[in-house]
Amino acid sequence: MKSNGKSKVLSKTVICAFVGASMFVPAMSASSSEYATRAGSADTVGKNLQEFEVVSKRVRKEVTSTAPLFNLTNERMKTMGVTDISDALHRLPGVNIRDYGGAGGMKTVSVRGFGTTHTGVIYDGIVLSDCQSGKIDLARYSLDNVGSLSLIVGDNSDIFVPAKASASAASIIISTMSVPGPLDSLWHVTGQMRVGAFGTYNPYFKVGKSITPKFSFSAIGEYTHGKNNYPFTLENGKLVTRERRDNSMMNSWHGEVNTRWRPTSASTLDAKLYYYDNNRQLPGPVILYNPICREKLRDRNFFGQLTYKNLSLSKFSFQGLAKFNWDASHYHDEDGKYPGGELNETYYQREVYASGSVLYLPTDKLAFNYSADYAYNVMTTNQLEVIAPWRHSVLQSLTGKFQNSWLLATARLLWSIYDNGAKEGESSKDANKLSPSLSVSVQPFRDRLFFIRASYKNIFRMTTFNESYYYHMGSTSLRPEDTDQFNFGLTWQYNSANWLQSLVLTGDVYYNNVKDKIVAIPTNMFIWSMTNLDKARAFGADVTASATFNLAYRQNLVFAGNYSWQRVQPRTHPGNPDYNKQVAYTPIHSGAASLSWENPWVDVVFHATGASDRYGTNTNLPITRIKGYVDCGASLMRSFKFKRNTIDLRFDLTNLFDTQYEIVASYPMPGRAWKFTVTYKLN
Amino acid sequence: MKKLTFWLLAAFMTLGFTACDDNENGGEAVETISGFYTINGGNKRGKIPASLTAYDYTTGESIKPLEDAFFAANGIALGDGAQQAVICNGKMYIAMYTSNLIWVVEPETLKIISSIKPDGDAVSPRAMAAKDNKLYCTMYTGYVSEIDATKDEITRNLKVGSNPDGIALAGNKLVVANTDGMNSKNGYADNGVSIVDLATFTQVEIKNTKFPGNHSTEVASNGRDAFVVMQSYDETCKILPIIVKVAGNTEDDIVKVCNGTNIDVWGNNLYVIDAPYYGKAENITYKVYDVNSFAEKGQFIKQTSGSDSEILAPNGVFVDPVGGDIVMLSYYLKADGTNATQEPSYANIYDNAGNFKKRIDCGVGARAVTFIHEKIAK
Repeated sequence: MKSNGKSKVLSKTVICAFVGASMFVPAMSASSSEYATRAGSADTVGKNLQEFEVVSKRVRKEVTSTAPLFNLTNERMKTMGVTDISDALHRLPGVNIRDYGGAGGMKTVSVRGFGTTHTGVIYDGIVLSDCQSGKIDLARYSLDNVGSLSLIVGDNSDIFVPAKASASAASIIISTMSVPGPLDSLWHVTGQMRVGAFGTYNPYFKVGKSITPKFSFSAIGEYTHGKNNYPFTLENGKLVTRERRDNSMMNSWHGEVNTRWRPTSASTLDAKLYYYDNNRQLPGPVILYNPICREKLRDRNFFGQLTYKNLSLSKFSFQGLAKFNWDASHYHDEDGKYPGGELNETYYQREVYASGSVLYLPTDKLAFNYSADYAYNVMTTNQLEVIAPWRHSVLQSLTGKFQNSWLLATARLLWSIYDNGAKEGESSKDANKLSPSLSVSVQPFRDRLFFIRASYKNIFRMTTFNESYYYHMGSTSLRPEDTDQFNFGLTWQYNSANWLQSLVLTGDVYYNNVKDKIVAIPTNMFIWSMTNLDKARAFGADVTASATFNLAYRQNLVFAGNYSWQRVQPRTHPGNPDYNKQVAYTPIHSGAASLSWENPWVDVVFHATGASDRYGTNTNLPITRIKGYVDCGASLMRSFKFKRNTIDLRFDLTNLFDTQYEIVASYPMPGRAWKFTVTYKLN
Repeated sequence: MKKLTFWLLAAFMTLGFTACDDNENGGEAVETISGFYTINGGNKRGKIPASLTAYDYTTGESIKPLEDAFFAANGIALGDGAQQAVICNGKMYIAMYTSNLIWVVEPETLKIISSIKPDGDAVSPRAMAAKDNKLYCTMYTGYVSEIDATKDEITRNLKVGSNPDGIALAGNKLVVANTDGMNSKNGYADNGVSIVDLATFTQVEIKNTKFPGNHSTEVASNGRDAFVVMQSYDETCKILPIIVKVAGNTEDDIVKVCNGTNIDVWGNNLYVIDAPYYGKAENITYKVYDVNSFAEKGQFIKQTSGSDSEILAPNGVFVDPVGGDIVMLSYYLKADGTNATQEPSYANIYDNAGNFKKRIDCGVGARAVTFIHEKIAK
């Protein structure tokens, strides 16, 4: 148990944070009428928003952002032939995915050499939390329900965000499709069925309506079944055999209800209830001469969240968030070597989270944001050396932003306080740190959409409960990771009415420095080993290009591509065998490209993703080399419209050339596979 | 696995059986030792597969540490989780824990003769002992399996204690270390030893209550006197690993000899490395004890700090049953002082007086040594 003294200090901090925030709100309310009387002031927020919307249609956010931002909307993903969430992440530069293969395989991401735990995942405005391993399995989020998927590296010019949203080195932002608008009183219905190779079927439905102009809702349900027993080639020297992934079946479903209430024209209250249940077998790594695996994993997740936004207070805007999250994970294995013949590992996590943010716009060039977040996480499990570890987190951020016709600059200071404890047992260290960030974008030529950007961010991450407390693996003395990241980039957008309708190019170079880095090496799909590498550095370059070529009337060629070069090196001690080698599972070269032919008949997309050789160990032992690969795919799409009815047909072939490759050693990826999707929409 | 079976069936069978040799039976063998293999377990976390390193006394050369001698001989991989190899009936048997397989190979060439696939309840082979053309293999699911070395088949299984690992001959009996290794959360509470009577193939299980905080892991013997390593994972370092002698069928017959972490027995000498988990390199000792009186006979290797003779992080001691040469296995150290477990390890050879002879590099995770009687594979 922690001392009461610490709890009191924390309680005071929490209270201060919220008193501070709440004092802002009455102040805003009290002065709102005063502000409203100032000429023009009342329009400031609305005017800015209006301008922003107009500009955003013409200039891509990727180009104007002060720090690297890459955005894939639902429509863009379709144009690029993106097949699933893993494929979508591959299309983002600098992203390194750990993919255990198949629909049921876990998929986690790391960005620019930072570990997976440095990548925040923001789902509909609220950061997802996993205090157990710090890793979010993105395989659970189906693309069918995703309106857009973005990657932000560092802090960019969106400053009206919760403090926790700026507490990661990089963030993946998933925005789901919204509810119908206030003036839309029609029923919106989507029904979809997808069937695919290896016994996969995946029905999906969504229904939405605005009951009144002030109240809208949507409900979503989906189910996925996959045998995932795909074949693969096992090369064992001169013995080459064709095998199948066994013990790989999954049954997963997800349901969601969203509502939006608009009490005034400038305020909204969004509510979401979410439930996810995935019961799957784990095929385990491929072990020579021993194909038997009986591992199973069941993941369940429930959360409810509320988001209140009020943009009506002239120079002030307010945002409040609240969330309750429950997450359960049960790993099961059967083997005579275990006591009683079986192994059961259970993890139950609960989180209570609240956040308040105030946006203040004193002039049309200046904006300030203060956000205060509080979270309480607790976990019960049979796997840790302590009982019920908990963590209070208080994060506060103060952000300033300046914008004129040629300069956009933001500066943020994040104050993080973490208080750790446990019902029984020694807890890991507390932490308290200030983390600054700065970013700037300059448009040197008024008539050119050419921008120069630079950014710096310092951030740290707390150790996860597994890292701190796992039996014989965790350490309460493990230090949190502290990171500095620097980015310099150029962006350019060209629009015209001629054959080259648009061209967007971005190029960034970066340097990241990590102290007390903890590197995760997978032992199997569920169990990882943690190594405190002390020091590591990453430097690299990300380049993206997208272009639309007009071939003829209603015929376009759309290209999108990205390439990343990254060196991520352990730097703990010059005499160590891993010094200046490439960190495990990090390719030096990686990239993706797609070419789409949009036409009135059948849209055709070719796409490819690839990575160079990687190693399973930080010492880059030759025997642990994982061969590089290029995975190509193709999609055919056709829409039929009749009044409010739309039928979309889509056929995908993935891994067109049946390339045998692995992303994680001993977890072969699927070979050539097909998917057929039919979608009916009533709009 | 069908393809594997096919391949194995296609592998040629080799004759030339000789009398079963117990490589732990110091002094009885008469052949000239001409080499040894190190059995390298690889590294599970780094997904580094197991391998064999071959060393030829005649030429004084070993093959390169990462060029697995098994792969070089057969063109296929050894597999995962190699534990130990023993010679019996003129053949070498290699226990593969993770791959759940026992390879049967020609000792001189490493060419595959056949393989034994444990199935049913008794699976996951760990350690072996040989006698009279029979091989006895511990299975981590709680069994000792008897293998007929003339047919290379498992003939019967005997249920012993929990997670048995080390096994060695003591006269007409086997001493088995029941580690209870999968029960760390309960402090390996069911650990102890099993005494297997070879005449009746029955066992007596002795639970360890005498040495709380320690649990049995390895066994070594000279064919007569059996000694058990009882490891400790006490993070406070108050309970240290110990060596006990097992002299009978009751717990009273188990007596502590000394502190220690790795052992081998040759004749009347018990070789003990004492390198506790949290021990510092300068505190590691290498002592010889008398197997009967437990009297200390002095240090068994001579090392010079900073030279090749130095053992940095010992992982085993193995004594040549003919000439008494001592082979020490060790990890290299990283510059920060931790064991380089994902890098090649090494073996140092000393003569019986402890004088350093040679260092050879081995594959990742060298954990056992098997001496052979004929010219070694290259």
